[in-house]
Amino acid sequence: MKDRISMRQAGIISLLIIFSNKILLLPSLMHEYIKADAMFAIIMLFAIEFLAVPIFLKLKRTFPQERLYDILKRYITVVGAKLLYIASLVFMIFKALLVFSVVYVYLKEQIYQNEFVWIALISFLPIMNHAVMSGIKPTARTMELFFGVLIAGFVFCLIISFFTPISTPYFFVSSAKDIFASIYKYAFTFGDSLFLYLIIDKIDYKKSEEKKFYFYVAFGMFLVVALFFLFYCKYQLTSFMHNNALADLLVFSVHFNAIGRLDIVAMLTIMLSTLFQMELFCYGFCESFISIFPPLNKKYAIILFDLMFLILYYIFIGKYEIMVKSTITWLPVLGVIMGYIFPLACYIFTFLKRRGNNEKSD
Amino acid sequence: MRNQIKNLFKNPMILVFIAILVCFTPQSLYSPGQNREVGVVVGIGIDKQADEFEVSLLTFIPTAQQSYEQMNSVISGKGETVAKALYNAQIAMGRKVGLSHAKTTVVNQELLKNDVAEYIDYLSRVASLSENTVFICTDSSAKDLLQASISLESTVGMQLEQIIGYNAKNLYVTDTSLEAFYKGYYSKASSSLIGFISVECEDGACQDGASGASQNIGPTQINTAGTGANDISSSSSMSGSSRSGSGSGTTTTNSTSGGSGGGSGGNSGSDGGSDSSGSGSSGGGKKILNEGKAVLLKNGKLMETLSVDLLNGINLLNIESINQIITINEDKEEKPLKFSYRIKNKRINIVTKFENGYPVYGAQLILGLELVEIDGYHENLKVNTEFSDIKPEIRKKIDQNLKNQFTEAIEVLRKNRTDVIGINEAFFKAHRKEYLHFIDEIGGTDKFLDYVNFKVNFVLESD
Repeated sequence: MKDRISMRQAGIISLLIIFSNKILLLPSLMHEYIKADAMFAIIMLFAIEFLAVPIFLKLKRTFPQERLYDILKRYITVVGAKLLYIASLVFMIFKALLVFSVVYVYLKEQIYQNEFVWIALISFLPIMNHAVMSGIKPTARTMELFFGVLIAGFVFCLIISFFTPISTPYFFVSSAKDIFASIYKYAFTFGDSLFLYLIIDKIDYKKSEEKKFYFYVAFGMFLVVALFFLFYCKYQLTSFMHNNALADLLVFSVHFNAIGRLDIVAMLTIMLSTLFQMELFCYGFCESFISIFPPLNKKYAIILFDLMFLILYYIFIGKYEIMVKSTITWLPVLGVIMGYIFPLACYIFTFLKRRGNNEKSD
Repeated sequence: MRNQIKNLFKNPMILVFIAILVCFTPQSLYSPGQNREVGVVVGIGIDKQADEFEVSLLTFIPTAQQSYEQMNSVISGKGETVAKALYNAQIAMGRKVGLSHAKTTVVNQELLKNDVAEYIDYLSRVASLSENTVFICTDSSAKDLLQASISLESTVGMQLEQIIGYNAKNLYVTDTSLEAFYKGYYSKASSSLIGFISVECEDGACQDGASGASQNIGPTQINTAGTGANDISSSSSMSGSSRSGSGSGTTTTNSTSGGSGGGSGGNSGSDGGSDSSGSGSSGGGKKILNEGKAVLLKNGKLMETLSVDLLNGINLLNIESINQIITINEDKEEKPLKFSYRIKNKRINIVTKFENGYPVYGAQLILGLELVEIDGYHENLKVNTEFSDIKPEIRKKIDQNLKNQFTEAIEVLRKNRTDVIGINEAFFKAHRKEYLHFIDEIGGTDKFLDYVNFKVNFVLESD
């Protein structure tokens, strides 16, 4: 059975990966820095990310069956390709760590009220490992199956915010310099389209399904922008105090206190999307590892991922604050390379390939 | 069969699932029930005595075959910080504090002499305390208010947050949650409004242990205080301990037998009078008094306690606030009469502009009024169309009454350099450039209200 996915499944994957690290802590962090003008920053960041989609499709059209590693090897030599894959490996594991750290703190506050890291790890790691071992097709099928539920949960959270007093936040209170600086500062939380490039050879490309793919990407971005907007409309000046944006749209809806805590909807949505995102980042890590060390297979990659994940979580960045701080201090460099420069380089490769073809035909 | 089992075990996820079951099921079965480990806190009170804080927790511990009051108790702890006091209260309770059901936070008026945000910092950082928790202030101790609320709930079936919820909906400009407090606190004028509830003590009931005999039984001290057949209050207090040795914790369980002065709820009608008050039921001689008052805060500090009249004046510009009663005096055939009108509906048109460099706040209030009472006139009582007609002289008096009310409210806000109406925000939103320039000229947002020229026009319609 070929481990390949359809364009629709690729679209769903890109939508889920767009949610990563953006639906809980990011709105509050960005508000602390540039207030509600974070809306402009996020729209610009998404615009950059959206540009990576046509580049990706162009790359796929230009190199229909080739692996990303082979494409890179051709243009930037084996060493260059391996270096880029090492960067991708680091990018993926830190993304997974960030998602885990943020969601862990959220679940600790909402459910456990106590440390439960072992339970969290036992819940997440085996499922992630199993997803990678099963391959991208079963993983994408599972995501396809739960996609409707997840989107319904997300939209429900957004709609509930309309039942509480909301008003437009004040825009243009930060300087243009700060807004542009934030595009760099929060670069690591974006650039998730890299995952699509890593699985470029596993997508069954059909030109007729391009629109569907664009729809899922645009829809994911729209939902995140809507979340930011409604969150700022609802909390305005105190947005910086609320660390769990999606859940906080529900928790403080006084109107609904009579029928119990509706935050269970946000909880399930967040848990489901986190699980899928972690699977994808783990998959991305393993793909990168296998390309760097071709003789080794997925099992080694998974073992390394688990070990690195545990070691990094406990020894290096076990503290949530350190992880969050890292995302705005040194990790943006990685974010810029993988999120902005890499798609640009891919565009150049397609251009070079076309020129090469033209020269051959001449 | 064997093959089926073999196939089953080929799937690694089944093994993981079995491993999880083996590891966690015995642990889950062995673990005690959550109510043995966590005390459900439904209200928090913070008092300050000298340099020490006292945090009181209104807890609900569900236990079989116990009355409502026995399941509710006020547990308190003292410490040099709120966190330490809460820790000591936790020790006294013998359980972890579960704050996710805390619906009310009460602070003593004394705490508002300084920035109250400093004291509630701990509660805001503890994310499990949801921020729609009602935030109120009391002139008595917060502990007394929580104690009085126990029997209020058991006799009248009314919770503290319901009383203040009524006020928030009908009297205050905003709701009175922690979230609303912070929104005001971080606003341009740093002004907030929080609810105010008094506790009336009878026979010195608010002085802990003052009227009762106290008996020491080892580490547990039992106070009994009886003030009459219908008002028996017993409280048991345990001396708490903390690792550092400072602070103490006490547990107080109020029980009221017989007909304990059942009050009729704490809602005060906003009848325009200053002497309106509602009282809740008493617990151990303590009465909850809701006079519809609110406390005006600037930078978290208490500036002034606002009466219902002042709140109504402030609320004239609040479209949500209706049902106010306006009473005017009128002489008919040399007979003094009092006409009471209710604001049945309200429409507001607001215009903000700068005229000659000065801010002008224009508001047209279209009020639908309903005549609800003519005091001193009982002849020929009939419900007919004459009620829907407001005579010019009465219209003039109502207009004057409303204008006076509004002027008084603005004067109070100006005096305290507060802005809970959102005048600053309105100008910032509509005329940002001019507003910021004007603020620079006058040297800060605090003085802005002094320069605003209010042009309020009332259109009175009979409804």
